[in-house]
Amino acid sequence: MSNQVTLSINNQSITVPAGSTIMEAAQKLGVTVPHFCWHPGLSIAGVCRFCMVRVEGMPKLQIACNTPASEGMKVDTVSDEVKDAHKWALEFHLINHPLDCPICDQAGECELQNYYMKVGKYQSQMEDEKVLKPKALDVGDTLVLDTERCILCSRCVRFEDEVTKTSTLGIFNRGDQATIGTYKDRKIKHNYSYNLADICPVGAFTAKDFRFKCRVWFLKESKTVCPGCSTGCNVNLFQNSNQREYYRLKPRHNADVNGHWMCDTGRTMYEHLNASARLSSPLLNGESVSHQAALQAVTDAVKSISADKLAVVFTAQFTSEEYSATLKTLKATLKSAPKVFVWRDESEKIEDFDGILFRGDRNPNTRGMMDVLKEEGINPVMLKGDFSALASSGAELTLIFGPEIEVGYPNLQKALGRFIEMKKTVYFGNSLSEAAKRMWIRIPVKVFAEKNGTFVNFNGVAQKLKANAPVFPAVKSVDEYFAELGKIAQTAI
Amino acid sequence: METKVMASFFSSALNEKIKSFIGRYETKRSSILPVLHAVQDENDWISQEAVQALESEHGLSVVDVNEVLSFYTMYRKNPPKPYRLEVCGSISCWLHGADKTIAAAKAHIAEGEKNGNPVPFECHKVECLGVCGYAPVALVNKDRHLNVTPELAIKLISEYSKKELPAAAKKCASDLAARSAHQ
Amino acid sequence: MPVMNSPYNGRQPNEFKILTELEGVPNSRSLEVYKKYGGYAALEKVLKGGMSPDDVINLVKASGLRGRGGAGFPTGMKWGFVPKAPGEKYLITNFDEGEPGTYKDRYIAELNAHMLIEGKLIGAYAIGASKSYIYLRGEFYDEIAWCEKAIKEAYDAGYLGDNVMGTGFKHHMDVYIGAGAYICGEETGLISSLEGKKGQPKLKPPFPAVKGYLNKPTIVNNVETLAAVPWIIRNGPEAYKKFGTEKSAGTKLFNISGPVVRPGCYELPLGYPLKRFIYEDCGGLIGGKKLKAVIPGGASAPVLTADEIENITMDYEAFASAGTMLGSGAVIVIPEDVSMVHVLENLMHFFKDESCGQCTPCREGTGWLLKMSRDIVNGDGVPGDAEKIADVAGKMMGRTICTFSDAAAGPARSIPQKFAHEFVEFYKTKKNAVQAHG
Repeated sequence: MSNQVTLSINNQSITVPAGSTIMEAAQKLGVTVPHFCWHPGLSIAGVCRFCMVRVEGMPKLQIACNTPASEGMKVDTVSDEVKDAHKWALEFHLINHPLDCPICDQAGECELQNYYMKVGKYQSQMEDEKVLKPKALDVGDTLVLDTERCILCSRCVRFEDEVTKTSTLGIFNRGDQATIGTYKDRKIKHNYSYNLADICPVGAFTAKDFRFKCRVWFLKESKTVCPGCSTGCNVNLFQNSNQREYYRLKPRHNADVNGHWMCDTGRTMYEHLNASARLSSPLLNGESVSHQAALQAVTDAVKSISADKLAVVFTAQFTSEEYSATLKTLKATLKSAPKVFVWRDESEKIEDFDGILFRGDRNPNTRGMMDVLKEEGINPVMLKGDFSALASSGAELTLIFGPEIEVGYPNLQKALGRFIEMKKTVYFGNSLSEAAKRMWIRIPVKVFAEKNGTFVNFNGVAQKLKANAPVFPAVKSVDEYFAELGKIAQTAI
Repeated sequence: METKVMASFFSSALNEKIKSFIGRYETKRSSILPVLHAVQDENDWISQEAVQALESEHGLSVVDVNEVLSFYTMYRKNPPKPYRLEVCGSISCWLHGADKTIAAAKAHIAEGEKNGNPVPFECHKVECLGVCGYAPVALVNKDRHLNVTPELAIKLISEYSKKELPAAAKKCASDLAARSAHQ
Repeated sequence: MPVMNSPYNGRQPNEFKILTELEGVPNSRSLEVYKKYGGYAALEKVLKGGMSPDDVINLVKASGLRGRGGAGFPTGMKWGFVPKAPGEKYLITNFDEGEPGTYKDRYIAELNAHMLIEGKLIGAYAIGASKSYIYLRGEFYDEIAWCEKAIKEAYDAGYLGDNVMGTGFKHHMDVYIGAGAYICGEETGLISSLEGKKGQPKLKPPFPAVKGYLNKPTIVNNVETLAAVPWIIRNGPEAYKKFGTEKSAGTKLFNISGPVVRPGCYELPLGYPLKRFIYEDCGGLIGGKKLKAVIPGGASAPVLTADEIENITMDYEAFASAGTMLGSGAVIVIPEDVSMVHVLENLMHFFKDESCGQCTPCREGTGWLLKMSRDIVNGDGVPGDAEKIADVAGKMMGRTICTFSDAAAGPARSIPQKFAHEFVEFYKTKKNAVQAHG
């Protein structure tokens, strides 16, 4: 009982854990209290003064973000008095803000702009000249800073102090000269810099890799999971669906996995999804063939040998469903389990962790893959730098499931070189490398954004992927291929 | 030992002072204000080289230091003239004609520049100095003067100008000379 | 001279000496003189007379002493907010005197800083603090030296250290020097500054009595408040309450500025008539000028017109009911020949310069108020501007972390409202722009 308090917001009752703020209670209730400086992943600054609410019995309006909810409290967020306070708070934010929305990349996802449309839409009373500050500062490899657009909410400063603990940013000078910045030409150099562009409520921090590329209102977002490492951050993937072009990833809140953030490495996980980085058709002995022809050849090869002559080489970048379908189909076709090898890059330090989100295991589904293998009663052999176990396995047919994200495999070429020494090799993957071309068969596969399936993160959290329309409709996922392969194999009987 | 002293941006006496401030309060960060006062007392201003040296030699973050440096008005971020006449322009002093004092002092300084007979002075309007009953109030460096009429301001400028320059001003001048020789 | 209807008729200001007893005494700043006048007897009474910390708090509560920095919060009650649990606690003296018109705290240091040190020691004992600071504004070079010297003397005499007066009470004291920021006079801004940061006020809750300096329980008291404590301990709360009014007990240092014949710092009982103070004690306006307005409690106090001061007394409740405040007791006198539009511009300049820039309404609003006031002074005003200034100021009130923006709104609302006719003159003609005042 004493751990919960019940209050009412706009006459709606809500119960929250003791110690919660009015803002948190309002969020839980689905009531929007406008705010700039408050961010659920950061400490409370209470400086924008936008989230004013009326609390019955208190002489002044209170800020929702720092006022503790208490038993029986009556809060109002919609009265004329409160709306007037919101309007004025917005006015104070706008008086020195440049009116450059037409050339600002934040336009369309700017909280200042959004609130202006919602709360404001009035003639500004400010007729005097605005304060001028430095613009378009190069503050690192990933970000550009416009201090004139900055509304000094201090989210970025708190992020640097509290999340990355790099404390690169400060607010210098005072009064209306207060300006956000780094020390001289010192840059923001860490693997979480794009979060600064995300949390910036205005267009002060913009991401270099997105600047001027596309207006945000052309983008459609889909929910998915980052494949960049074994943390499996929840993300939104942004695609211009008219062009079938992916533009960026942004973190999606999940308290159990990534909180509010994701790393910069993860942000690049859209680059390999677009047509220019992809393969559209299979190769058989170096010749382009149809998917059907390639699959037929694989099926025939599988059927022509016994289980002990078949080697399967997995990387942990496929969905659990893909591993399961592969193994089940092969077992059904061969009447016995094949030999399974797990290919890890020799540079991998699986226990590495940056203390925030990024892990040394650069595969999104190591845990899921191992779970499926265990389920199927298969004890895999590790290939890490040393490929002798595969070379001496006597395999006459080797099915290789290559990594989707090759940056996690810096020694990819060396490994592929060893694979092509095997008798007959089938490579499932999108590798553009020469060695992959020299496989007997190379079959392109769907990328994470185009599949339904599950990744299980380092901590055992199973997360679903949801398929977007594929860039190349003929290209399939591994489970889809093996379902087909199974059918072909059965019809042949 | 000798080489270590040579390598420091600060004099050995100042380094000792900085260290004593760093150890004096509950946290290292609390020493920032006193440390900056000490640097300014010796060098007459606080350069970005000094800020960098506070980080590299004494472990005070440049961001923390620059936030403080830029927030408080008493810290000089640029090399000053040897004497600063700082006249309060807040309400009580203004009621007693502080702006006339400021205008007279500035005109006098400009006049000297024009005549090729410059005085080692600069004049600023500052906010309330906290002795409002004896307006206008002014500081010449660390000396407080009361009832600073335009006449008194000019007299103060003349009197101080005749004195030997303060040690910090000399240090500032020689530092700047050394720097421009270096460039 | 008008006849005042006041209980103090016929009494001289020097009959009310609690803080200014050493006025005119040769060598007043020395420890010997201080002791000769009863110095450190109160500390001895507290530490050796069997008084518990709660006894001290209750005694101060009973005296009715209220904070003399401006807010007027009851001192004993403030001390009582500190949690009793063991652990580090801090007592900090706010000696960042900078409210335009205010120069009373420095007067205490000029007379004898031991008053403050003794009061601090008693307060520290009451709240259980083993460390205290005197936070002085950096421009107070003399006052810093006086405090440092007094602290050293107190250490040498055994009033400070690990074993104060041999009683086992441990207390250490240090000065901390500001660097030019009015906002450090706000208690949480002061704490931020003492932590080596920008002097930006902190969000409340938590309150400093629970989480202050370095997140430890911290009490910030004004110099004048603490300096009154030894007298109260020595003479008892009833003796203190003989001065002043029911809700404003004791004496207060009133500092007057502007063109009066005898400016200075006067110790008077609270409830003293303002008009008598200006015309009798301070000798009226220089050259017999007519009074136009009075800012009664420092730059942030709403202005009173000459008519409004006719019967007003100087105490918390009388000023509050007149829509202004006692503040720091800084009385600023404005004569008839000064334009209130210029006064507004000057004050807005101060608030714009001194806003810490943290909260949006204050950061942006103070700059806006200055720009609007300046436009009017420059002859670019149009009818409605005075109302707009008052309106914008009204929207800054009660909307920020600290009361700085309310302070700016004090004059920005009252001047346009009470002197609207002077603004109208400015709209009509540009010629006013060239004459500053007088």
